[in-house]
Amino acid sequence: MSIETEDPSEIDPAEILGSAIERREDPALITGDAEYTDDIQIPRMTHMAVKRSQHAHARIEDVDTSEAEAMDGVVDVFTAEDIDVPGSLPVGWLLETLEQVDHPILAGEKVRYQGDGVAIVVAEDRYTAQDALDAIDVEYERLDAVTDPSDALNGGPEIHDDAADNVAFEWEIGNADETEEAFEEAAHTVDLEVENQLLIPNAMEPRAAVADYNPSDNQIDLAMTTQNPHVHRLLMAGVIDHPENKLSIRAPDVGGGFGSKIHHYADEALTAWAAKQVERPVKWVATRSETYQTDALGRGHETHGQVAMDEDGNITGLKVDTKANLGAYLSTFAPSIPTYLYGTLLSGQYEIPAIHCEVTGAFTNVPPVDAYRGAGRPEASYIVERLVKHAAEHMDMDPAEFRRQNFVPGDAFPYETPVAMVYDSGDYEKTLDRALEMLDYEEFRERQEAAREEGRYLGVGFSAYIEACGIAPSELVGQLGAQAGLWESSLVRFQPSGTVTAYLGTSGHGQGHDTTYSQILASELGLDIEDIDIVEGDTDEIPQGMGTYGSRSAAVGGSALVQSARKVVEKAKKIAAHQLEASEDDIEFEDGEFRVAGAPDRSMHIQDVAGAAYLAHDMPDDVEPGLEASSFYDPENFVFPFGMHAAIVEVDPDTGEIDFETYVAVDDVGNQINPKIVEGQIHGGVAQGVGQALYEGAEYDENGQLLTGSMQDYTVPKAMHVPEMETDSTVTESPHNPLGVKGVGEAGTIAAPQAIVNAVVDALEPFGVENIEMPLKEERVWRAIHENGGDA
Amino acid sequence: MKAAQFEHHEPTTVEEAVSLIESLDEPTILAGGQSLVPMMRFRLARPETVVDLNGIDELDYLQEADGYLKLGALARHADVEESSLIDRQYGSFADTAPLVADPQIRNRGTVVGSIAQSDPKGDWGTVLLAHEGEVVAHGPGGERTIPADEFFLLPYDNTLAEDELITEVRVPTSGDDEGSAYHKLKRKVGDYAMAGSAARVVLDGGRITDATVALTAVDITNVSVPDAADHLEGERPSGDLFKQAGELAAEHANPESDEHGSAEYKRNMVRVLTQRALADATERASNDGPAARYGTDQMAVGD
Amino acid sequence: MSVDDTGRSDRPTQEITVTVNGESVTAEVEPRLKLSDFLRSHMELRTVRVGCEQGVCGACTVEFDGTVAKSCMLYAVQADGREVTTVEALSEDGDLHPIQEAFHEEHALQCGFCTSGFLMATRELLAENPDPDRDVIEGALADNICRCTGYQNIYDAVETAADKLEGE
Repeated sequence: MSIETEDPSEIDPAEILGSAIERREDPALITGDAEYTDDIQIPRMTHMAVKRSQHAHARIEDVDTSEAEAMDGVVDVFTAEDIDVPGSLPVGWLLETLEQVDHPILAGEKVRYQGDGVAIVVAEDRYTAQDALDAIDVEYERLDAVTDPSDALNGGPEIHDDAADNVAFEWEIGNADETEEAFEEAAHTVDLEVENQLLIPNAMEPRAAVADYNPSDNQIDLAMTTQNPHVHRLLMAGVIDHPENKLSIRAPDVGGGFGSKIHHYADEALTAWAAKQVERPVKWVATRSETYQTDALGRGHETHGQVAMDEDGNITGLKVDTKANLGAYLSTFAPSIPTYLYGTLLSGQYEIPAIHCEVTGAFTNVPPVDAYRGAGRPEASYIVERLVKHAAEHMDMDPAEFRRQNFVPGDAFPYETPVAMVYDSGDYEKTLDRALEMLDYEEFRERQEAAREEGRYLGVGFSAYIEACGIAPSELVGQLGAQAGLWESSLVRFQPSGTVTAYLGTSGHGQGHDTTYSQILASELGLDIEDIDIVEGDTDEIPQGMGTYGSRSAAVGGSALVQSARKVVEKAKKIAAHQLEASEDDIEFEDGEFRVAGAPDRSMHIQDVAGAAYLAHDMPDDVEPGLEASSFYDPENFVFPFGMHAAIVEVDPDTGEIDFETYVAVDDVGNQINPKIVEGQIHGGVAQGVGQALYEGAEYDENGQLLTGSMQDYTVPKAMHVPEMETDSTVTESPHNPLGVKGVGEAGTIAAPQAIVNAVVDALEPFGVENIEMPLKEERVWRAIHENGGDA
Repeated sequence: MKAAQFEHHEPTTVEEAVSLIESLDEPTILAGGQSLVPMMRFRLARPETVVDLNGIDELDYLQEADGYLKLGALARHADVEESSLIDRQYGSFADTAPLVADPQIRNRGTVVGSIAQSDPKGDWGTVLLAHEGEVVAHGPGGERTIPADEFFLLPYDNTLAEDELITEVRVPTSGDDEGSAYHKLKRKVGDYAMAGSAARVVLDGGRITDATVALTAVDITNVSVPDAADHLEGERPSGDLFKQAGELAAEHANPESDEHGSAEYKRNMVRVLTQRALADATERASNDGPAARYGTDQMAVGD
Repeated sequence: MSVDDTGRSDRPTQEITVTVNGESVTAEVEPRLKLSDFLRSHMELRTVRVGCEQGVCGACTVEFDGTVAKSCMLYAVQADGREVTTVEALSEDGDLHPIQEAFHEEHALQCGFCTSGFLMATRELLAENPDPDRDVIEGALADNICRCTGYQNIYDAVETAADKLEGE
């Protein structure tokens, strides 16, 4: 069912929006022409390496760097004592009850997770830098460590002086009284305790930075693996006390992020700071071990969820209590993830009259936890969809029909949930029906029955997911605690010869922005795609920007692009009218051509208008020369992609192994700019969701030592772990943006885990299995089968 | 991360290699390097000298000769996978090769290197035990052979002397009435086994005349299970018999709990895997039907 | 010689001569220098990408001595007298290799960081088996991790590449 691609040069600009064209970025990426951060070579460049704590929680008694400093090829060694700037990483989202704690870029008194930096070495080459790290001697007084949020909150060792009982915040949403009432009046209630395990994002390219400092003009040029260069510049300027306008940050080709390259870490700031100290270029590239120890983790929830129903199985109330692991420090956007990106999505696709959710954020001795693909929304969708499966079973109802009965009806949009969201548009039954058709659902239930009689266990699992994307309306997020506006900016500039360059503040790292933005612009301006160049990821070139995350680039960045393009057309129209000696009101614009209404032979192409605008020999009054426009687009609401994913699995009852038979994904992401790119995002997202369901999980021992510290021990899914997927989509336009798009970057990751867990639970229903924790390791599945005696 | 400094030697004959090993202070042998190189990267191994066998062409063979299937020290996992010799008569070898790590690792990694590493999670030691094979070592005093069941001592330790080099491993050639199989449970392709079981069966007139069972990752070394072998010998193959042998293997196993699985689970998997390996081995020896008829539900774990 | 190597200190080195993408190169290297680092730093071959440095992710896959291998699992001294081929050798005079074309047509990459490894693995697979089915492809790609694509389009690309090569 895969979508066929088209050669963009064979498509008319009028048709290009919505076409599955080949990606413009590929030729560089599949040859040696791409430049990732580690590819950058600068004369006199040095190499930085970070000495990291092997303990998860310890007081630093002494750091002896003398031997390292004396080594041949070592340029300099720095510890916390040498840091002469504020050097504390900021938090970009505040909550009323939030305990803000100091997060130094090098630990001086105490280390709080395994991997916390204590010293840096700058050396002539990486091998010497590594030798020098080995020569640094750190004396520690070890302290008890805690990695589990509940343990941390219930008498765990104190991690920060300022955070009593390791509470980072307490937060709630919804109406407690109404929800309590719903439970009191309920005919049926069910509940589940589930864990949403810690995940390590694992972008294929490790984090990296190259800094070059020019003392004569105090300029730092920093190339780094970032999803949001302008945000990094703003924050880092404060951290290393350097003027924002003398700090340039550029994202070269970036090899995936999935959230892990949004956050402001210590290492990139140290690279920039060190370059200033040694007055030579400095490169730092994380080893995969460092990636495992220091990249911000995702998820980490322990949740108790309860559902109240009337006697017909209509959901009347939902209660959720979550302990969220925040790790050792507050990462950049950490406080927003288990709160506003989580609690607000707990209504799922359902009409639930009363919802109440409480979240306690806990400090623990694991690396900071922040956004990872989906960020809060997968956790919400997981608990909702696991509870729905459980509730349907309790009511002895078909899980598909139970969902249908409780869906927000198609005519109820815009729909306001009890947890502060207003869903823009949707048609949930449509995606359900399509998924059932693709599964051949009725036939499956017959096969399932027959297979059980032969001692084979098949199961089907559904996931009716919803997410809030297009992050985000600035005023709204400001009220909720964001320390930034979440608009996006663009600049569209014609050159005199008629080519165009568009500059966007988003920063793609694999999503194909070059292609999709070109399609949008080609369509708006009526140009061939060859005449369009897209520039992203460079604070020197792009006026401002907020970056790429939260499935926002198409909905917010794309809208900013449309806005600028339309401003350009508006100005060009004035010039064209003047040139064509017609009234502006009589000028029509179509396919790049300005025409005088009723006189089709009197026309001027926008590229010729650009020439005239720069020539400026004959301009209308009050119109400046040149043809360009910039804009800041601030979304009026979130957008709400949704869909139905479903999996059919077979479980081997002897070993607990799971095999996929089918995986279907029916997604509604609004209008699609490039359906092949949309499909690719779904594929990749589902693969990461499969990873969470079956394989992935950061595990720590009782001392806070990472047990899954390498790709050998932490299973990032390979080809044979990912099922073949059947994808389809429905289109419900978002009314909130000019493109009618909803965003697709996170959908698959949000949808997949509960589809798979529900399928396994469904398969094992004859054994009385109600829940198995992710990842569904063979042993967990085997135990679930055998703990009730193993009899079907 | 990068390795610590070391010296690199690349001899071109066994003789040269043996004298180098004798003259150097605790050299480390590099063949495929697929375990050693990552250990050096993490600086878990910090050899001062490395003797690289890759230039010794005389060690690059996989052949049947003198009543043995012989694998030279440079025979790669991929050579086993691609060999026409292996085929059905060496079912356990054919099963094991594609289960070792990933294709590229198999292009470089060697069978002998894996056995020399003596990791109890390694697969080849189990296959060697199941086939009652031998290790051929060269040292200053010349050549000697060590039976497989006298080779493994402790995790990463064996009875090879410090100045000896393994040049070959070999197993007796397999007859038409012999079948063998290897089943392995692993978290994902490319992982070391969580548990594994190799079985070898010789049939005569519908009865098992000789059998061996050996296990991976459930003791301090790869181990064979004599009780299971005794139980099988002289009996007619049946699902029940294999189940009993599987239970004996499970009793014999001495697994430890780790982050991949508990001892209890691994012991149970030894039971299941042994049962399945015996069914496949018997099917291959008798060549008269699918393994499933002997009572296993699926042909192979990880198919 | 570039700056990111270990040849500048007085640590002992060894001379090696390697044929890289058809050209013979002689260099002085420390024995511990990984082949991946040698190719990236000495030879400036950017398509050799380092993702894990422990032989799992496959981003540094090259053809070594006639078969694909992970260059982070080899030392440069081991390449002495041998041949290494990287993705840089695939496209000729700016024309993409049919496998590269297929990856482009099928959207078989997103961030591109892992792609070289997949191209090299596909090249070997199709040389050995011009018409592989999905199971065979799945097995042949077991060395390589892609975090972006979910592999679906990579399967399609391998099949499309097989068709293209067959038509040549």
